[in-house]
Amino acid sequence: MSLSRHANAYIFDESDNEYGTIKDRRNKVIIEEAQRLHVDKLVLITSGNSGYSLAKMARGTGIKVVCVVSRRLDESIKNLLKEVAYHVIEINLDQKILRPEELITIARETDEEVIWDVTNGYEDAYVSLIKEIAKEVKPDYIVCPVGSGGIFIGLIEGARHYLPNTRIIGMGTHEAYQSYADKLSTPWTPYTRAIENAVKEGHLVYRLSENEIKNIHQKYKNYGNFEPSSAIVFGAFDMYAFKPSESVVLINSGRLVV
Amino acid sequence: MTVELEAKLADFGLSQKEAKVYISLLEIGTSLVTDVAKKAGLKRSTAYVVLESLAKHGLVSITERKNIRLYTPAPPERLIQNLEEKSRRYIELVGIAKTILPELKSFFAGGGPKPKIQFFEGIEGIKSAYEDTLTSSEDIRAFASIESMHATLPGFFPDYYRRRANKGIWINAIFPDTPEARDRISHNKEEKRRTLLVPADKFSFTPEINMYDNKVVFMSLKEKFALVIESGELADALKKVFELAWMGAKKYDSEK
Repeated sequence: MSLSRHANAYIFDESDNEYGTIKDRRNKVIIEEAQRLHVDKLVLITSGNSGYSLAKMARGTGIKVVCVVSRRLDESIKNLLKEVAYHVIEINLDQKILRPEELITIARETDEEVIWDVTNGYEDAYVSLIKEIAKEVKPDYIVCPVGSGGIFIGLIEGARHYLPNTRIIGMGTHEAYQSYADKLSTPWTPYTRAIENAVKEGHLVYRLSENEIKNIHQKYKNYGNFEPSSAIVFGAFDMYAFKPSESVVLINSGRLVV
Repeated sequence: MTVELEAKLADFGLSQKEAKVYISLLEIGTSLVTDVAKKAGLKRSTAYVVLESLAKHGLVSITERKNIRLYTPAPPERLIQNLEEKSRRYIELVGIAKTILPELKSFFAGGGPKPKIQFFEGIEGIKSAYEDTLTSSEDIRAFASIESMHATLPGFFPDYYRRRANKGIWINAIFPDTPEARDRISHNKEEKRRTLLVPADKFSFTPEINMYDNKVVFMSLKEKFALVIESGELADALKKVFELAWMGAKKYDSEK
């Protein structure tokens, strides 16, 4: 863990993880579960980092990883994914929301294969992050990016147990497709209702415009190893009036890996 | 023997009649429905329905010769194939269940966080409660009586203290001032414990009360039960009560 302090703000840096992303935590749990139940293949929709991390973790396990990506995804990212994944499938994701059964059908090569769609779920994996923060500091707020909302909901779950007085602030984009914070664009998420419930409990979610996200990234990108989808957490300082006595942990969800 | 086999096949998802007909067909080989019915001791119409059902399971194949339907048993290995297929299907369902879990949970958590209460009975129950304290992410706050603890769970504590210390979990404890407590606090450093002693004649008590994270744990060491309450609100309030007691205990501790 890397937790650095800046006045009353701390940065919890997940870019130090093995494959440079907070998703490493979730992917580790997925691989362990897939090995335990002898799953042959994992399929997920990815914009890069998560698929890369999962494919790298699966190496040597015999588990195949199929990455489903948007046709509009940058060619260099597609090429990097092709180097590590079993298969990369390009689909026009702007026009279609794929459900787990459809993704499994797309990834299937033989009837004998056991395939899991791991695009969503496994948010409990992020509870470990809260435990690590709680050992160091009891912040008033933790700020994280919100894409599908899995990280946000996982952190809330952890905070209920280990930091009951901490509020989680989620920072996201208005754009469901092709945001400058590309890892946060999500046309559909199973966490919609859970996010609504979290806000009713007192946690906060802010959605920023593309201009706001760009400005924040320009301002803070050199503050640490922040890419646009990670730097968005600094937007909390513009959106919420923290008191000088309050402490805040900003989560750097990852560096630009692919 | 056949009855035993039939019962085993029932475990694989076949009905009693299906098991009876399949075993009969294995014995007599490719046959007409009349022969199968006779061998299995069933009516012809029943045997027909059962054979069609077995065909759906892939355990019987059907051929027609000159408008006569003939039934052939699939080799018994097909049963294993069927089970393997089912097993693969179930593991895939586990995967799908994991992906729909967020949606299901969002309905479950509709009313916000719910306090959770666990009741543990007996010596083993109290041990379970102590084990839970090892999940703490912060210093434990405790009112405790060393004599009661050690008398109730002889032999449990040296190992518990070691495991707690190894996990880096400190405890801030208020003890009634007794010879046993004084002996224990001589190990404070290695057992990661901060203590304050209060006069036993004024503040003697036997239960242990622990507070950590969003939990309050009551351990009745005489009546042999433990109560683990998960509630952020209650834990927060009782931690503050403890801090108040800690401030008060400092006065007595400095006089000892």
